[in-house]
Amino acid sequence: MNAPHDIVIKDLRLKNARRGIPFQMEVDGCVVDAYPGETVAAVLLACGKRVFSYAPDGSARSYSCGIGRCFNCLVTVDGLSNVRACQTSTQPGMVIRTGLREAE
Amino acid sequence: MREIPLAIIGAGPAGLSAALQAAKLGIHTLVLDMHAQSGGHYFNLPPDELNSCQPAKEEIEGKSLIDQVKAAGAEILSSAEVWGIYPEDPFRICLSGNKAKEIRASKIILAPGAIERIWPFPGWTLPGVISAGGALTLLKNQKMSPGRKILISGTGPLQLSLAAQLASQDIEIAGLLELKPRRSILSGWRSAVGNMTYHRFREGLGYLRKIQAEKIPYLFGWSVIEAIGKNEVEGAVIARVDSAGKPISSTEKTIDVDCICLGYGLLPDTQFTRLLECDHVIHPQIGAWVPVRNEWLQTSLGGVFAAGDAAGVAGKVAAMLEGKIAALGAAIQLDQISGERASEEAAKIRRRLSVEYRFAEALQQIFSLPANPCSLANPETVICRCECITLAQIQEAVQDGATSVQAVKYHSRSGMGWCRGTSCTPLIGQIIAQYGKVNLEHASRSTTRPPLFPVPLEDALDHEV
Repeated sequence: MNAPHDIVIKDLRLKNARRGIPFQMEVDGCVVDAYPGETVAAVLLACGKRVFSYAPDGSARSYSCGIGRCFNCLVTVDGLSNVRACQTSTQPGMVIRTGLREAE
Repeated sequence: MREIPLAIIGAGPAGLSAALQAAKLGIHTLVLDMHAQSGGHYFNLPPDELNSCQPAKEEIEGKSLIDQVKAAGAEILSSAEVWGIYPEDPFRICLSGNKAKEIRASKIILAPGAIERIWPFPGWTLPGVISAGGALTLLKNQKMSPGRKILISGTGPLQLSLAAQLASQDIEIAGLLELKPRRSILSGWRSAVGNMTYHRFREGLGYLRKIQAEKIPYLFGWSVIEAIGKNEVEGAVIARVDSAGKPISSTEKTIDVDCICLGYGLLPDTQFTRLLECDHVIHPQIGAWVPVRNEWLQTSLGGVFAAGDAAGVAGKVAAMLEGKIAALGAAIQLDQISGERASEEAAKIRRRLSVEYRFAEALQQIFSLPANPCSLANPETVICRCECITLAQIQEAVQDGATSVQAVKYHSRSGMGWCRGTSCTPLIGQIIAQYGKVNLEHASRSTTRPPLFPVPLEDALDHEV
């Protein structure tokens, strides 16, 4: 599903949850909403950004094991490269960049 | 730098159960958990800020267990990921992600759980292809659907549970594909049922009823054979497979899905026992390493115990029972309990444990995988996902005389990427055994060295090297 970067169409967030007050963070230059307790991976998936990075042969990589063991969900968080999105809790004002593997 | 009598690595059923037992015996215990939220991958607890409207019974049980562990006096250190363990006296445990960089412990119980088996096929690395465990973690820990239209493919009870749980959240499931033919599963159940507790039987039945009620297509002897899409999953090709796991091309169908959940069973996470160079054997049914343990679940390295799925994949109940036994074993060594009393306690636990082992074995028989783990792969299919090493490259290495995982690594760079071989190592061992005609023990040999994953330099400073 190739969602335009600045629009969240149909949210993947389940209704069966009580969430806190959303805050804003930045993903590839766009402002997106995140809820307390959500990981970077969840926020990226929720706003339709499934391509997290590219492997050495140029093929896309994303969330896979969910438990921080496969290292496929690497993104750049607040300038730090190759951070596992599935193990990183979101914070207000966090800046995420996708599509990179090596140092910026 | 803290020094404690007992460190437990992992805050899942085995780790928490061990911590509770140890704390009750008065042992000062520290649980090291790499995750922000305790509970491990069985309970999959949501963080405090993402509350469930109707908590599932696992959630209630998991939270209660954590409360009991803390009430008994054990401490849980979250976001504390172990990147190295040095067999000094006491053991030196190196951490990343936490303010604490290092812990010294007299005894260690390893309980990091399991990882998922990979069964490669064209397109399996596309964004949108995730493991069944990864889907469950997203669903329960993050309260999020893994996609809008899901295909589930693989074998075993985990994907049954996944299908039922996705369906109960009104998530559309295009199909649930079970690799094994129906007749082989039904014939296996007779032995399994004899070793099944009533509540487990009801649990399985509940999943089946849900799948039936939601009219989810449940196909036996079928598999996903290709994930389609440019940069992410846009569809899938599914087909009937034969008993060797090979697709029957005349049955191929293309379906429209945006997420593929794969469940091919769990493998013990032996990264710590291999790091410590403990003795391992290849588990005959799992086809991967498990650490050798004595009756107290101590590994071949004195003072280091292994409990739960990390040592054999026998499920949550077995994990909790093993956690207790390992804690009793450590307690004897720490002079917190007499050998006689510990043996009395352990005898009762071992009786229940043997029932669990028999059931786990029955399940493994029923959902046994085809001998060739590359039954769906072609030569261009990626095997080492981090370094993009293909099946053809691995076979070439084997032809050139590389007959162990370590040798193939030197030849091809497989296992040198970010995950340090976590994902590809068990698979490459099996590929070598298949194509190199060597036994699995020889093929699976590899060396594990710290750091277990890339750590920032600051996490390694302040250490005496």
